[in-house]
Amino acid sequence: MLIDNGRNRERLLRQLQIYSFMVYDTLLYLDAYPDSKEALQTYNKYKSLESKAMAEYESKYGPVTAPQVTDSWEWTQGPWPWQLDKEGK
Amino acid sequence: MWQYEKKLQYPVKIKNPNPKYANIIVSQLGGPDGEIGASLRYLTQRIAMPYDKVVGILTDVGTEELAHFEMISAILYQLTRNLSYDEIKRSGFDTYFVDHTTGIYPVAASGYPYTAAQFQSKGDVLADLNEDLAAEQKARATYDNILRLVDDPDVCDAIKFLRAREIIHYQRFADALRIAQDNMNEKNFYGYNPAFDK
Repeated sequence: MLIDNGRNRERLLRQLQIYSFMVYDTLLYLDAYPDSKEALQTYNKYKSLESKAMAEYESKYGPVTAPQVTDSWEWTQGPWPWQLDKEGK
Repeated sequence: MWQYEKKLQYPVKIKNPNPKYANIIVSQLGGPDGEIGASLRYLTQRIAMPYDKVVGILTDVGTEELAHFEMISAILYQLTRNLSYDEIKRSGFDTYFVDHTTGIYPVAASGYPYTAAQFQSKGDVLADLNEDLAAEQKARATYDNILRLVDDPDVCDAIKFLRAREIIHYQRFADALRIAQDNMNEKNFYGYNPAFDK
């Protein structure tokens, strides 16, 4: 696991949260308007960005969803999402 | 089934603990318009819902509410860290503290514990969807009230996100109601429940 001052981790996490949000909000919209080509395009665009951001984040900071085939178990390693670091950040 | 994602839907980073604020915000965990009630309302109602698109909306909104339950939990956890006995007593947090220490428990700000009696799953299409619209509006009003009482920018940032989601959910339930009505006999919406009457 890469060691840094936490800023890079936070930056990548924020990017992932932004893409995931776009995916989720568009998914809700598509539930009601499945024929919207514009919404489908938006969904596909952000789903692909989310996958890339997820892969990058997970490769550096451990699994966000249950791990793929793995030879080391990092799933339970903190920080969990509600926890702050020692300086309260 | 559900799968957990080890991230919050929106960041919660609160620099300054404040048990008084926790006392207020806990209502969105287990109060009458709180997030766990919202999630259970939609995830129970969806099962008997006869229209696939509406089932989708109930499923996906109900799932997002669980992520909001986690965000409120994170807010409460961060607001109640490193407290002194004096702060606990002075802030009025002592009445929560005596029962739960700083553990996260779903209660209303009044202290009344979460109960499923706060919501309905009527098994009636129009009754359930109209309840859902009202529920989103009531939750938005609660977040408005929280924003009137809280002036810490770290807390308000997360609360404003949650408030905005209530508005989006209201819009999606308005879509759901339209979809349901488009599928119902327009000569008699109110004499017939398509979730039960065949």
